[in-house]
Amino acid sequence: MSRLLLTSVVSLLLIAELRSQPDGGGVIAGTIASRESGEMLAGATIVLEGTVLGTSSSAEGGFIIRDAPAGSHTLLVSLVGFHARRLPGVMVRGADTTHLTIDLEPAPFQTQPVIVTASRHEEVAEDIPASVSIVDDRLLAYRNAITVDDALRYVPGVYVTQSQVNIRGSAGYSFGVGTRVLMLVDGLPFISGDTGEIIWESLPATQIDRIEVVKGAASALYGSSALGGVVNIITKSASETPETGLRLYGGMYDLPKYQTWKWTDEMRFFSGVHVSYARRIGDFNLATALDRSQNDGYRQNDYRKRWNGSARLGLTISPYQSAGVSFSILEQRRGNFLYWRDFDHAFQPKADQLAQSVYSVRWNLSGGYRNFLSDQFLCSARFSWFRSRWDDNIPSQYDSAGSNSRSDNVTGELQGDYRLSPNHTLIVGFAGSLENVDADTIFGRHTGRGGAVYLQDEIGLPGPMRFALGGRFDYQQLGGLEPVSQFNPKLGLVYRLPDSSAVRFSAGRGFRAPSVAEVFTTSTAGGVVILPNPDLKPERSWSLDLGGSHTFNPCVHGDISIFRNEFWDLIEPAFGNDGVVHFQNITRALIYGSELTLNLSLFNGNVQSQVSYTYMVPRDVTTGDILKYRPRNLLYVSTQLDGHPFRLGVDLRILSRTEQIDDDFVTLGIIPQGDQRVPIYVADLRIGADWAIGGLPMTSALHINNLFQYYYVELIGNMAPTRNFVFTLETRI
Amino acid sequence: MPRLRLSSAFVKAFLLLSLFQYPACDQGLSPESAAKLGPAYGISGTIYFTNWPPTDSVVDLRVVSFKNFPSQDILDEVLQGRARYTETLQPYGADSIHYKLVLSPIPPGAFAYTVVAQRFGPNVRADWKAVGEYYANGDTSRPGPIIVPADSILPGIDIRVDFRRPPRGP
Repeated sequence: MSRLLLTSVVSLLLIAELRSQPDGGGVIAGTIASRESGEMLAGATIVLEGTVLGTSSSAEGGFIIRDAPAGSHTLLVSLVGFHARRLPGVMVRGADTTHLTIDLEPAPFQTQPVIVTASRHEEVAEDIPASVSIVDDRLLAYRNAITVDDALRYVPGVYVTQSQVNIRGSAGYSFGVGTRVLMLVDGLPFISGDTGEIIWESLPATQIDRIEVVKGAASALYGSSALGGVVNIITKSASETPETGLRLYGGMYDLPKYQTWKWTDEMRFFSGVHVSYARRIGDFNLATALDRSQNDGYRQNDYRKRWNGSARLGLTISPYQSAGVSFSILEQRRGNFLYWRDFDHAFQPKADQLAQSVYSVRWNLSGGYRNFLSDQFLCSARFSWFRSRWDDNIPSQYDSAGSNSRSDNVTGELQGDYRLSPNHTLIVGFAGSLENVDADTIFGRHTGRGGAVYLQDEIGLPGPMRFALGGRFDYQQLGGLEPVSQFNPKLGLVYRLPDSSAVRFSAGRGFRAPSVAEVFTTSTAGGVVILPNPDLKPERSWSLDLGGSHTFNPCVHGDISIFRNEFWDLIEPAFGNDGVVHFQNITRALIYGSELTLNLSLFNGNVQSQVSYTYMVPRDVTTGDILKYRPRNLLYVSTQLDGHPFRLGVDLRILSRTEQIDDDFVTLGIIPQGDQRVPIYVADLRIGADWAIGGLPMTSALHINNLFQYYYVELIGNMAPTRNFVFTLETRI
Repeated sequence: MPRLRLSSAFVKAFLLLSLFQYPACDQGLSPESAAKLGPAYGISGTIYFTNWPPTDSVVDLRVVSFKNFPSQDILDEVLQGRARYTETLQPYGADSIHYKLVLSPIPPGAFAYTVVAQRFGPNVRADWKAVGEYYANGDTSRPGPIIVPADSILPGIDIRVDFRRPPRGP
């Protein structure tokens, strides 16, 4: 596989040299404005199709694309809240400047017009044959999301158990090990090599342009772990003009209302500062950021202190070639709160955890190269190297001094997009991965390797129908275990109706190879012994999704989906006959349900509201029981009032009571009163304003999370955050 | 973005949407929600230790009180809710430790068998043994029953543990 990749890369570079470079080039300059109001629009994305050239509009709505090759081009212009626009026949002559005045028609809803995750290339949202939700940077800022998992709590069909993200019930809770939702950053996997978990805090929300959530199995495109879906984080790129950003926040937790639960008289504070700088210098673009955050924690020994840094350097080599490299790093120390001492001490851990802490350093180096070898053929190569190192002082029966782990997860991809016609795109790709884990006592030392090839054909049939067929073959080997391989096909259909409606269908198979931690963990936690299980098999799934969307009038847009996901060999930690916990293939599961999302846009878009309801039946087919840690009902309501310069928003999350938990942990006395749980009703309120001081634009906001101080658990023995107040202040120059 | 024009319809619409979002004035979990099960009653006392074994053989240590004198399958008594136990005691190396064991919601009255149980291996189901029994009135020939009142914690239920001389058990 590695030889094939190397050969492909060399061929790609040779072909690249064959394509002649233009001597200089023309300039496309212009402005982007709202067709309705004439207001200049900032932040619009302008891409010159068939090249790597593109930019975003400035605060005054202006844009410049330099070095455009002579000839006729097509511009794709997109902006959240507006219909995307495709402008063919833009002529560039020699070194002349072509002036354009582009107007965009407002869309009634603040939706992302172009999405990349569902099919591995840019697509207009209406053409996507899958259920997709978007969280854009505006929503991230409104909600003061500090880490990515915070931002996903209001995505339809998504819920978060502690920090483990579930899409439509695909995952219960597995102590953060072995995610069934694949997290990507700019299209590449971002999971740790040892535990196979998502390290949400490695990427601060301030670096994110948008998050695309694709629901249903996506292993046909992305391989292992994409059983339940994919969360793809698209990071911000540098704008044409230099930009410096500063964001400060500070807040505090309310103390528990009940005297029994009060464990301190001191207020619990949290705060953070984020500094960013981005600019273009010639053909280079640079974006850097530094974050410092600290949190006392609302529970005893639940503190966190964190540094995040990131830098990204991009280079436009020619109109047809670009390259980039990114680096991000996290350094964190946190206390250990595994579960409560007992229900009377719900905000305090067991006494032996009070002195325990975890120190971690995690960094990611990634890079990419894109080359339009012809107007129809785009080649891209990408790599990512995720290193994770953590040390704790949590004694186990096997290591009284605590555990530590060093792991590397290196992935590389080579992809070709061949546009046979404007309505026909063929995608072929190769991927390889290498995992290396060095964790003497807890996981041991292991190396894993994987390779994959994928192919997708996407055709716009005559008429309003689009059709996508694809598949991916994966091969993985972990340590000295038997290699595993799997072919995952997918099928997608979209039928667009003339009355702003679309019907979609998708079917796909998913799989997940067990992580090093699931196979090899040797440890004790809270009196429970966990031992290896080298006989673990990969999890497999089939997902079906039938959905439709309709814009009823300029004020109401609806989307409905019916889904059915079947899983085989689900891996969960459970007590074996030997009275010891192993990760085991214990469950065959069927999860079916429906999801309804309504978007309301009232008063010229000044009031935006989203209501989503997901109903699921998550059933263990073997036992007939409801699966653990899966609520049947999710209801999210978000309303945002935008009355410049003020904003007011309210959010509500309602989740029905989790029916099944790990009863053994309760009956065996490991988590005292661990069966205490209720339905979840959480309301958040936010008030913000845009203002200026001496010409410096400022945004400030007050957030009150868990407004009604509702006490609940997402995970047994773990009380969720109490009411907290956050004040944020942000400026960009 | 056009300027917002406040109107009564606008305000009503926003209030309606906001109110719709606040059906939840409940407080969720509370210490009282556990207390609703009834008054707490149980036992308390001191455990006296001698002849501690190596530390790696004391994986867990708890006081367990059984409503009925258990058959061979002690774990079944626990899983069936006919026994209650303390959280893990951590007295390793100490001469004594005080404990409190809440027995509600098992009906108050007679509890036939109260022991200190040691887990000596990784098997959370099987690797347990009794290392000390409660004896009433100094009669060490058989385990002593305890009559637990319905409204209080009964003190003075002391247990002696000699790790070299464990009781025979049920």
